[in-house]
Amino acid sequence: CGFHLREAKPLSPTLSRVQIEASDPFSTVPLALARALRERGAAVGPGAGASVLKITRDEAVTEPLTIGGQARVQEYRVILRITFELRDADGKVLLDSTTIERQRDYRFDETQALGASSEDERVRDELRREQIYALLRALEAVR
Amino acid sequence: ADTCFGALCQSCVAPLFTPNQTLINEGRDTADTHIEADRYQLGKDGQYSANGNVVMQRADQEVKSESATYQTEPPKAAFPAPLSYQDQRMLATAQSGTWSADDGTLLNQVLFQMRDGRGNGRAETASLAGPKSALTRATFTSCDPAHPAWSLAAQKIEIDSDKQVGRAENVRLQLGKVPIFYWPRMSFPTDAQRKTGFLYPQLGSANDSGFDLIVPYYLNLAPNYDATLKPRYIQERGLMLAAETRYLGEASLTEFEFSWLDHDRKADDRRTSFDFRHQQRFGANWFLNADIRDVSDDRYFEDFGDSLSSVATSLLPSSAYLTGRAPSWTFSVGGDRQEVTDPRLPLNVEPYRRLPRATFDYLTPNLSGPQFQLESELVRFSKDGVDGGNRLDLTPAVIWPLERSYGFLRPKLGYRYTAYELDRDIDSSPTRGMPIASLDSGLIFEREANWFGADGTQTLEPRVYALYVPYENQDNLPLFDTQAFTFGWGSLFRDNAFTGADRQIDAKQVTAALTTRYLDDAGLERFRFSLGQIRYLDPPRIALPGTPLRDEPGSAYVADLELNWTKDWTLAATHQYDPAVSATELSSVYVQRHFWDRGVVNVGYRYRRDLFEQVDVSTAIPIKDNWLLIARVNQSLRDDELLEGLAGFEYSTCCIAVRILGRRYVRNIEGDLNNGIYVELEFKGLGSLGRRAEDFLRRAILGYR
Amino acid sequence: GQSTDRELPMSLKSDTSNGNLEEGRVTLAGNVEITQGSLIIRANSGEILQVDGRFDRANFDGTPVTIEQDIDGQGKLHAEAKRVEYQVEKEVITLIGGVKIDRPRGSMRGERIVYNLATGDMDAGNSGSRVELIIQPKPKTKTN
Repeated sequence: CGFHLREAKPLSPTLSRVQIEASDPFSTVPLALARALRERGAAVGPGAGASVLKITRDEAVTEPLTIGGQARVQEYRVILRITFELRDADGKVLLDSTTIERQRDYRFDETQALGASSEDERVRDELRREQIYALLRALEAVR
Repeated sequence: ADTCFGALCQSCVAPLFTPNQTLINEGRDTADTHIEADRYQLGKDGQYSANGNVVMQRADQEVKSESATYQTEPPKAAFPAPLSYQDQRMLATAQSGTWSADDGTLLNQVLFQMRDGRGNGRAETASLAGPKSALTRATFTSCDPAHPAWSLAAQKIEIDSDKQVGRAENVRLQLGKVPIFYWPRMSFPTDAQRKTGFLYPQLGSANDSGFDLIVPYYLNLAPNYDATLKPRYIQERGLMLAAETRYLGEASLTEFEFSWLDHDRKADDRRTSFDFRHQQRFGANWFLNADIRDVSDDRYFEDFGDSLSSVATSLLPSSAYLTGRAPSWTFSVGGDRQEVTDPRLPLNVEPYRRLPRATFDYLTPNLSGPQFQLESELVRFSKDGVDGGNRLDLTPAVIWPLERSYGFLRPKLGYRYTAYELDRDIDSSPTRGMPIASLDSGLIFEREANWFGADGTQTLEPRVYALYVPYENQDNLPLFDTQAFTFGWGSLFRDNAFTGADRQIDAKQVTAALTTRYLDDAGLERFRFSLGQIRYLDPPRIALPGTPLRDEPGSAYVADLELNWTKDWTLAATHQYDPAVSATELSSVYVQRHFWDRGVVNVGYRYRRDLFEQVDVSTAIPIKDNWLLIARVNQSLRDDELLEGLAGFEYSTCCIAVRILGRRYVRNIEGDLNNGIYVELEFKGLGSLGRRAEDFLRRAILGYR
Repeated sequence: GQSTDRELPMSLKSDTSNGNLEEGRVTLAGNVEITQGSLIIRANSGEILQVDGRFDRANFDGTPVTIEQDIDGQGKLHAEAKRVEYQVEKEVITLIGGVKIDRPRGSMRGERIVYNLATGDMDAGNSGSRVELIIQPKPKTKTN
């Protein structure tokens, strides 16, 4: 049915060196993205001919998803939203402003809320990994 | 929302005249003054009178008129005839005016427009000196000056363009011609970007608190420090003092909110709340993030929260952590706690305080070959009236990830060691240790595909995750911060079924999962369907007290589907079927459709077995170009009860927005419903008056713009 | 100064000249220099015309023609133009081509400036071009 193992697609030469500019200095994305880019052979950091990956928005929000009959939260939803754009060394836009959003919900019962904050932390880590994977797929598509 | 903020935009307010873009914006006192005219008249006393479309320019200032006289000592120009004036901050036309090198420009019968933002208006006189302009008997609005929907009429308005703040004296706020508010003195931001909360009273009413009025007063204390005082009068409770301050440091942001109701008539008690937030960076790797919150009693949010989600807050989190990050390690130290704010909750349900709590994660930075990994946590748990304790949890591990374009193999062999020092006197330092072995593997198949009318690729990604953890009895271990994870897609690939470290699942299991995605030519995921299940070779024997062991050979099936057809269509669905009870565990479908630029419809259905079954339909329908019909129904099918109903409209032009909403929502644990009428007048560019409907709308109707 | 110069005698100097005042026309060529009190006009060539024995008109051409004069107690005036036409009776000086008139606190620029000495009027003589006044800032003016 036409499926074949995915061939290696090397990053486009314009991404041989990538400088990551993050809007939120506290975000975990730059470090994780730098590691993933290095694994694919790209150099990361300022330098001659470096194309610039600018992260203009990087949000992680936990908000009530379902509220029950007694006005109590029964489910929380974690939404991770990242918006980025990519320009080459002389400023030409390689990737227009793109948003990658991942969300997942978890049950919440205030009578057993011991582990709520650690579940929230774990879900954010997992969503962040999926987000980085999706971002890389977008970078691999840049020719 | 309208995109008319920022630079002068034609759609909203036509510029008085087309400004000359060639002027240079600085050095007024060192620049030459040029006066061009058709004819000149040289007076004896060194006076020039120019006639015939006179143009005077100096750096960023330009005046055009029919005639002008210029005297050299002291340098002063007079414009007896109607003129147009322009500088880097303002455009104006006036009946006459004078200019002098030393004390600025004075214009009479003025029509003016700010060049950044859309503030404009009229004035009897306008005296412009650098960034400061003082207007007398002036009106200020962001609407079209010909027929302003609203305007501020004041005896005196002073605008500081650098600080982007206006100050006015005996001011009337007029809706059309009708004055609706009066202030002896007030200040207001002249640009919309600076969200400084609300400058005008917020009014609303609800059957549980009666008339509810907030009268904010904005204090612009310094470019990086401002405060908003928000005294709030609630008919059935009394006068509550509230304030928000914000301080922007060089590498820090500090925000402090508090509210203080000395005597709440209805609750016959003092009601207070505060929220202290502080973020600070130290160099490139270290930063402090603190959010300390407190309320006086557990019904505070019920009585004073203005949105359903704030009313439904049952646990109020506070935390403060110093975190350091580097390519190969992450370290954090601090603490957190959760305060019960739900009257129905017995106090023993309050989660343990984790203070101090330190975590340290390490991963060797090499990009290929085996890597050493360490995850560790040291915590002191404490809770009033209950034995607390310290817990150390270490998981050193060796991982050897093999990543290829066509798949991956991630073996991991670790040893989890957990030790306690408990306050209880018997068996006060139990320990637990066991190896954890896991193998995550997957292949990625691809083929060209043409969906949505464009070329792209479809992937087929089988994934197998094997986990082995020997059993060790853990009944003697306390339960500090451990609970079962909500079962879902993530659970299929986790090496523990519990949050926290008090329980480590024993496992001899293999997860089988399949994902197929469609990526468009830009590599963005437009469709994803995943299906997976855990097969237990031996059913797990570790369970939380009171939960039965599961002897079913397989976990619930998990299916996830997400489709982003175009940027206007989104469909997301999840489903979990549990063969153990041969019933659906979780089922949810959500469809969102954007249309006509600002229109949106959301339809959602959510079901969790024995918990809830709800439908949530919300919409914002644009009618003609200024009107927006808004409606939402959140209905519980299980209890056949309305959770939240809302209907209303928004009329919005480029300078004013009127929102009127009727709302009915569950207010408290007894399930009583609260009816609320919300009226909001938003003067675009100046802040809004009325209950903060827009913000709450954005939460109530996902995608409301 | 400007107001008294007209009563003073005028002297003309140039490399060559022909014709004579009695016939009513004198042409001068080469380093022409006319002085009358504080007024000094220098040009490459000039012609002076008399009517009924009285000094009627004078025209000068130069690259450029320069005029200097003391303004009563307010410093010196310095003017330049490619061509200067002086109509004595009407007391009108017309400056044409790259005109610059520098006075102590302001200088004028234009392609054609017609300057009426009696009324002080100055215009572009409907040539469609404009007259520009340029004022340097005082050394230590306050910023505004």
